[in-house]
Order: sequence, then structure tokens, then C-alpha cells
Amino acid sequence: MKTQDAEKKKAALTKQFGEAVTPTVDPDGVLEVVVAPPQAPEVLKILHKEYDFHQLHDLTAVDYIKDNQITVIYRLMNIEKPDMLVVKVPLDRNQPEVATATGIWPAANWLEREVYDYFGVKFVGHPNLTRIMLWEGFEGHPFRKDFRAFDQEPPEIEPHEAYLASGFEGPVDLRDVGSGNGAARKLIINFGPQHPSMHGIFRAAVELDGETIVDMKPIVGYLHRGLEKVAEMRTWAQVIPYTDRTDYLAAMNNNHAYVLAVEKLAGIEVPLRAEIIRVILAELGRLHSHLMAIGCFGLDLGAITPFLYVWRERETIYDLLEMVSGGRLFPTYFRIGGVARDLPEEFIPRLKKFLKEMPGHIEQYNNILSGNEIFQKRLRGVAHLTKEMALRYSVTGPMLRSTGINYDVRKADPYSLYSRFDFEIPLGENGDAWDFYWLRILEMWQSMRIIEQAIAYLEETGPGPVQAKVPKTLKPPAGEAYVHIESPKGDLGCYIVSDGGTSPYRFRWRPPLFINLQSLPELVRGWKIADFIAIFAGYDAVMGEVDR
Amino acid sequence: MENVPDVTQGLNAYPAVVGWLEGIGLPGWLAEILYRVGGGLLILTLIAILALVLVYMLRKVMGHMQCRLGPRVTGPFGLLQTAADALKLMQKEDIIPARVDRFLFILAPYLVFFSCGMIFMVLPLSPTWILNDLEAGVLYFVAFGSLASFGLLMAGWGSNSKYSLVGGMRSVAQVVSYEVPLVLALLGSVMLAGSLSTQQIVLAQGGTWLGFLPRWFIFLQPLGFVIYFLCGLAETGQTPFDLPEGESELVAGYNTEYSGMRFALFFLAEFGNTFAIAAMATTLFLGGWHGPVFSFLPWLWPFVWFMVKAMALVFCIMWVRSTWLRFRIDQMMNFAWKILVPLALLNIFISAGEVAAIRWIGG
Repeated sequence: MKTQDAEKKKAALTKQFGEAVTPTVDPDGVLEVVVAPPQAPEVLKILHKEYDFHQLHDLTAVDYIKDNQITVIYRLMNIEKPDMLVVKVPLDRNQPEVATATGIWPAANWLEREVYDYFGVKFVGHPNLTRIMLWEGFEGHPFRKDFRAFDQEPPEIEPHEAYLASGFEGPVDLRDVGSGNGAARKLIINFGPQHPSMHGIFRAAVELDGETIVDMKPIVGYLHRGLEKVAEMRTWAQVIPYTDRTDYLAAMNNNHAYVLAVEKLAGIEVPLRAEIIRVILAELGRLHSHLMAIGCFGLDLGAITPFLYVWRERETIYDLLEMVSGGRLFPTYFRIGGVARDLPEEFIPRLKKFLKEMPGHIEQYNNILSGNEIFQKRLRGVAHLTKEMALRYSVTGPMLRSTGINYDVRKADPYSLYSRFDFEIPLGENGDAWDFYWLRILEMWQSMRIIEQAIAYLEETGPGPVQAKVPKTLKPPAGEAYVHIESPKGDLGCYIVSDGGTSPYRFRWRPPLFINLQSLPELVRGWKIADFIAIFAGYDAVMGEVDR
Repeated sequence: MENVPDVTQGLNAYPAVVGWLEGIGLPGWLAEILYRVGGGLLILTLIAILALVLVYMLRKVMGHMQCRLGPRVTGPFGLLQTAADALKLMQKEDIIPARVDRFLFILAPYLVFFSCGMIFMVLPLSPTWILNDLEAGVLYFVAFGSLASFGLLMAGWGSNSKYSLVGGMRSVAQVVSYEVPLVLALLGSVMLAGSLSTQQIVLAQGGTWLGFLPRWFIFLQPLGFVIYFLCGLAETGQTPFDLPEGESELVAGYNTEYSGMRFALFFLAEFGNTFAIAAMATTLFLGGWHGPVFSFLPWLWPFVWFMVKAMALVFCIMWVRSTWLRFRIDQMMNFAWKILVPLALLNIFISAGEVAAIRWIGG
């Protein structure tokens, strides 16, 4: 995505801040502003207020040990225009400190905690600057290049207890509830890490007044596998299987983000046929992910049957993936410069049959779930995600579109072949749980449309190579690349930095769910327990992606 | 119609058994006690067998409704699956978590199961097969139906777990709320039959109207039947009223901390109650054991018809269970107090009109 009027903004910024900023326009047309740490908060505030960068798209850091610098990177966006801008703040490696951006964008909260966790960067003024993925008491910051791994035992005591005890009024333990004077008491219930409807190991400490939620604290990090760190020790090609394991319901889309980033960095031209195949599979991944999402919606609201209905279609998609790659959940089918192998002969007929059956199946879901009075009653008007709130928390994906904001990366910043396919972006109106659900059904129709067009295009282009010539040991030139795609869960970004070596110097995954989830407390406050479950289902959370 | 055997003269166990016991020299009071205890044991066995059948039925019905086949590996057609499960539950370690209220924790499942078993006492399975034809049988049924909620609250509080506590509170709120329309809906049948005795209500439904329409109360009380059925779902905690144990919210609700046989008791009671609700609906609205009687084993047919009707209703409950989803707590309450109670009150007026009309025509 280009920066609009990059030159104009460049000139204005130079005029306003003089020496403190060094704006450059990178080859993609994105304005990159390097800011000295003392001026950083002011520049960010001005960019937010006067340049309309309402959204903190991503916040991460890179350790440039040779320059004795840790660079904090703010990726700002205005998704309505759309517009993107990068702010880099180089910090002294020995004492990295910068003012927090949580006051400008609440979405910075967890992102800054993550950077603190990984790099030890202190964000002055952050409300709760504690480790988020690793445990409190972990020695060292693993993403610093001079970090040497050694065995560290995680603590026996749950490290979040202190955090939980703060800010809640009620007793953490049921046994602490005294007989009292008969006044109503609040209760804190842990939903998760092990709970049937937390979609993995998400933990929500919920303060209840009767059945009503007074406050809620989300805790993540139980499934942290250090994906980004592991990637730094693998060759460029070896990273692909790891991306499968982030959002494991849409492995293809994850592959897509990563290979596109590497291809962009290394300047690899992908054969057309491979690109079409990628689109087909990425849309299949979206279908798969949305199928699971609507199935889980039913399951979380107490209907088991729709969940098993979607299992049937899921099985077909798995069979298709197995056909092309041999893998089902983790196909690892995309390669840098193409795909692993051409489609087998029986793939397209089977896919066509699937597309023919699918409308009938969606009709079934509508009959059993969408049309159910109780289901509609449970979802309509529950939760109210406003546009303003969605922007504040950098919410992306179907949840953002449920508020009526038309932002889909496939349209806003077309990648791959999406610009040549004809499809629509379904939009919601109310930002309620019903919209979260219904948009996914509508998006499935659009995905099917894209797949149909892609099949026609594939047949039109005929056979051809599916893999570009890529050196055996790929060494992309030193530099960096950022690619974001529309994954089923939201705006999935992949930021890679190369030092010209055989493996990524820094590999950053912008997980849409991790960022979306920060809006959960504000969204569920004041609703009932059952609504909380319904709202959480709307995130379609996959903890593999949140915790990486 | 003259050839129809008199089913009421069938297998009347009471005089036969008590007479035989007295015949071998036992005093009258001991024979009476032995008869009652034997009947109680029979009912326990009946509940256990019913639970086995119903669990298998539930699995098969839900399986086929959910594009799968249900159990089919253990034994022929998977028939032994539930037996295997029961065996597994019996072998489980009996875990009592630390810091529970032991007295309540241990007592709760027995109370729930006890209240379920007591309901079976007044079910008229056939003209002669009724353990105790109480004068106030319907009232007795309502009383023991609501006793179960004490057990659930005890389980919820005694477990010292927050999921259990919220589940227990929900179940009490639910049972107390739905008790009201349930009783009001029952009143219609009671008024029509002019008796609280379950057997008398069934007897009042004998014969036909206009020669073909059986005189079942459902034809006079369609509204009452629907209200009763919905309240019955709520009383037994079935979908869409499975809030007390809604697994996506409260893990397992009041029985979260239970395992082994204590859990099995809750489980048995749940299925026992499901059947009891269906059986009571059969008694009150579907003509109980009335049905065509054939000359082959004439005393068995009423029981067969009773079971067929009750099982058809159980099937409906399972059908609902596999297609609907859960209410939210406030919606559930609103539904009881704002919709069902007014409708049930209306139903009483309708019943009164019907009683007057029948007296006017028939009188």
C-alpha cells in the first residue's frame, strides 16, 4: 500500500520537525519516517491528529546489533482512504526507552508489551508493562541478537495472579467470600485456559455481578512457541511450515503472506499458473476457516448439530488439500516462487463438484442455524462495536467490516491476482454479534465466486510451469519487505528483514487476532456470560495465531 | 366393542404378591413392607434400564441427525456402548475435591436421583401397574419434580467451584420460574378429569368422541400440552433450557466437580427425569395407556401403548435437543414469566369453559 501524497507529507514533516525527522520514500511508495526517540511521541501524535493516521497497524522492533540500535517500528494506517506510513524510532541498545503510544492508540498496549518482552524496550508511561508471551521472571530478551538460549524453568506458580488480583473488587477465591452483611458480592471466574468455548487456551478472568460481566481481563501466551524466533534460525524456505502452524484453520493463507513477502524482497517473478492456484487454495482456506467459525458459533450457543454439519464440508476441503500436497491440516504447499507441484488431474473436477454442492450446504446452515429464532435472538443487538472503537483497537477482518467500514486488503491493497477477479465485500451495519456471524456466511459466497473465476482463468491459461527459478540457497538482498493479506481472521501482515544471509534476520508476523482481541474487555463489559461467549465466538479466535 | 378384554382385570400384582407372602406365614404389615420395597427396587431397575436405552437412543437419534452414525462398534449396532460406559463410570475413582462441603457434596446426587425415582411411583404404566395410586398424584409429581432443584443447588454450592455455583443458581432460578406455568398447565387436565389422581385422569380419557377421535385431553388442551412440554424441557434442563449445565459457558454447570458413580447418578436422574416428563405428558394429555387391545397377552398392551407414546415424546425431546440452541438467562426468564404464565392462565379459563360445555352437552 502506497502512502498518498508521499512527497507532500515528506515536505510537511520536514518543515514541521526539521532535524528530528528523516523522511524517505521507499521503492513501494511508502513514506518512512525515522524519528529521534525524544520527538517520537509528538510526531506520532501529530501523525494521528493532523495526518489522519487513525490506526496503529503494527508495532514491532528489530535489533540492529551492528549499529548498536534497536529500532521500534510503528506502521500507521488510515484504512478508510487507505493510506500507510512507517515510523522508525532507533533506540540505544544499552538503554532502550521510548514513550508509550497507548495514549494515542489503545491497540499499542499488547504490542508494546510484546516488544518489551522480546527486546527489553521500555515504553515509558505504559499502564502495565509486563511480559506477555514469556513468563514474568524470564531472564533476558530472546529477540536480542546477543541472547543465548539456556534452560529456563517456567515458574510453578501461575504468574498472572498478581495481575488478576489488581483492579478487581471481588475475591479471587470462592472461599474468601465471607458471610458478609447480605450485600451482593462480585465473583471472579476464570474462563480458560482450559474451557470448552475458549477456542484453544485463551484465558479470560471475568468479574461477575450475578450473570452480568463487570470487568474482564484477557490473558494470552499459553500457546507461545516462539515462531518468530525459530524463523530466525531456519533458512528462508524452511520457515514456510512454521507459518502453517499459526492460524491452523487457514494454513494456505499464512503460506501466502510469507511467500509473497519473500518474493517481494528477493524480486522473484511467480508464474501465472502458480499464482492462480494460490488464489484458489487461499480462498479454500477462507471457506474452511469461515465454516469452522460458523460451526463454532452454533456450538458456543449450545447447538451441536451445525458444528457437525460443517465438519462434513471441512472434510471435503481437507481431501482437496490432501490431493494437492499430501497434508490435511498443514499442507505447506506454497513455495517461494510458486507452489510445490502442479494440481493433480482429479483436483479440479472434485473442486467443481464441491462448489456445486456448497450452496445447498449453506442453505442447510441457514435452515438449522441462521434461521433459528433463538439463534437470532441470542446474537442480534448483542455487543456493539462502533467504528470509532474498531479503529481505536485496530480491529480488522469481518469484525471491522461488521461496523460498515469497507476495508478488505484484497480490495484496498490488491495482492496476487485479486484485482482481476470480480467479487464484493459484504458489509455489516450494527457491529453486533449477528453481523460477525452473518458476514462470514456472505463472505463464503464471495470466496466461491472467486474460486469459480479462478478455475475458469486456470483453464483459460492452460498448463505451464508452477515454480519460478529460485536458487537452491536463497539469499535475498539485504533489506526489508512488508506484505499484508486478507486472512480469514483479518489483516495478516508479514514483515521480514534480511541481512543478505540464508535465513531471515527478523521475521515478524502481524497476527490480526492478537490485535483484535484487545478490544474484547470493552466489548463484553455489561453483557451476560452467555453473551460473552457469543461475542468471543465472533472473533473466531485461533490461539495458534494469537500466541504464535 | 364387546370383545375387548377388560384390561383392568389383568396382572394385578398387589393382591397376588401380598396374598402369597401372607400365605407363607408372614404378618400382614411385613408383607406390605416387602411389597413396597420390592416395587421400589423394581423402579430403580426400571430407571437404570431406561437410562441405558435412552442413552443409546439419544446417541443414535442425534448421530443420524448430525450426519453421522452414532455408536456401532461395541456389540451389534453399538448396543453395548452404554453398558460399557456404565461399567467405565463404576470403575472410576471416586474423587471428592479438597475443600468441598462434604455433606452437601455427597448428599446432592442422591437427593436428585431420589426425587427422580419418587416420580415414578405415581406413573400409571398400565391399569394395574402403578406403585401407588395417590389421591393427589399430580401434586405429588410436581412436589418431587421441584425437590430436584434443591439437590442441584446443593451440588452447586457444595462443590466450592464457581462454575458449579453459577450452574446451581441458574437451575434453581429456572425450576422455580417454570414450576408456575407447569402447574397451571397441568390444572387444565385436572379440571377436565375432576381428579388429582393420575390413574383417574387416564381413566377419564377412555373412549372416543364421535366414534373415532380418542378422548385424549390433548385435543381439548393443545395449548396446555405445549406449555407443559416446554416447561418439562426446562424442568429437566434439556435444550433449549440447558443453561444450568451449558457446557460452552459453565463447562458442566453444577456437576463440574463430580466424577464416577456420583456423576452417574446425575446422569441417570437426567434421563430418568426426561422419561418421567414424557410419561407424565402421556398420562395427562395423550390418554396414558389407552389404546387398542388385542387378545394376545391383553394385560401387556396398555403398557406397550404407554411406552410407545412416552418414547415418541422422548424422541421429540431429543429432536429439539439436536436442532435448537440455548436461551440466554434473561430470555429464559422472560419466556417463563411474560409468555408462558399468561398463556397458562388463559388455558385455565379455556379449560373451565370446556368443562362447562361438556357438562352442558353430556349432562
